[in-house]
Amino acid sequence: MHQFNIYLAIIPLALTLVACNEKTEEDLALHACEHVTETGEAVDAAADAADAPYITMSDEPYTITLVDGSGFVSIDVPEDSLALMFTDTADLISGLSHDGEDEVLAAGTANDDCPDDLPEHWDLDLHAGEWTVEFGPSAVDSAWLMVIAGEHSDEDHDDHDH
Amino acid sequence: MLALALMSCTFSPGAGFSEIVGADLTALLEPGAARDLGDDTVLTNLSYEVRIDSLTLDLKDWALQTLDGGAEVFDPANPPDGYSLCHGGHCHNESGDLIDYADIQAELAGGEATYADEVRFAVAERADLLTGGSWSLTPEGSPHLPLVDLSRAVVRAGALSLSGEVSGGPLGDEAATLAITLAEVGELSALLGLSVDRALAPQIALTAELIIDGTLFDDIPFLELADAGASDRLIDLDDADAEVALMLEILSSDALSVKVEDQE
Repeated sequence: MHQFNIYLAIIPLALTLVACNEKTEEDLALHACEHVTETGEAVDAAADAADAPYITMSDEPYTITLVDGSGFVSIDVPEDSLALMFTDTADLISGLSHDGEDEVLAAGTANDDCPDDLPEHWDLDLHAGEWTVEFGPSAVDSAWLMVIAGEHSDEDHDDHDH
Repeated sequence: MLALALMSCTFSPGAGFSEIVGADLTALLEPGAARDLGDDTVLTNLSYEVRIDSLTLDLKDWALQTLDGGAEVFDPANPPDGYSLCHGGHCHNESGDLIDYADIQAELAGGEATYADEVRFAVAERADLLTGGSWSLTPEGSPHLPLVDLSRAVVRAGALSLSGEVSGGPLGDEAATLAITLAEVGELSALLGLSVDRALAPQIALTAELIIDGTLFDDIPFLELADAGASDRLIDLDDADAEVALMLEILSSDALSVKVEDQE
């Protein structure tokens, strides 16, 4: 009887873990919406890309304080990874670079689950290395940012985003 | 004879699958928080500050269109080889040029695929984009829609005229007078993907928003233009200028959005 109770406890836990490991892009988009009112960790952006502070890919948001409406933050990507990047201000993120080389940044699109709160997001296919996000120039002082890791990419991709 | 007479009453003209009971079009400049410096002044990505004294757009009409021709359905989220960054009715090809979805559809079909108006709303208004304008429209012809797939919405526009002043960024405190005249903006489109069938509400309302955002002047090198101007600090752009083509690309990419609401 005791062993049966253990199974009863383990099975739902296992099912939950499986479900958590199969988060879809829709789940992550909804997650970003649910956390948009949180300020998260405060980070001061650097005026120069070379001095950019590191943030991590996680399911927690950041509030990035800008330098006269501009600035840079970096993300260390240890291995090729898919990611979604959300921000609360349209036309603010202006560039993306990989190990110092500028990459083409496609136009961001709204998070369909909360387009007014998160008017721009990008599906990123990041190769290993250092990625730097550029903000501005802009008329705002800060930005809400969340970069969530997706599933590992086993395929070779030519483009960093799509 | 009596039976035939009764049948004629039974088979009255069809009313279609859905009826358009409302169609509103709004057009305005909305720079957005990142680019709005207040007092009708927009910050560009090159740090110029464009103060707009006047900005108008001549609206011609608004149409809902079918995509005729081409058996293979084009999916912008998964573009065919040679195309990428699809949004707002266009994809970039390998040369970086903007290619209309219809042209890609035609290529996939190995023949012709063209958009055709299914429903048209005449507007014929000059929109003051600074104050914004809204119009409640009725379709030309019947408001009843047949069984049809409406692929995209398109607003056709004529002249875009702007007057103002640009300063800041590489120009510093020295301001230059700015005048832009674009004779024919053309088509501003948005994917619609509306299937008119039994699953659609019997009555629908359409809302179209033509929002010009704060990226309109991005990548325009105003300092070079001011220095190259015939008279001191006057930037006068028209259709022949590459910078106006750049503005047109920005205008045509994401400006239009359309919502369809059930009216049950």
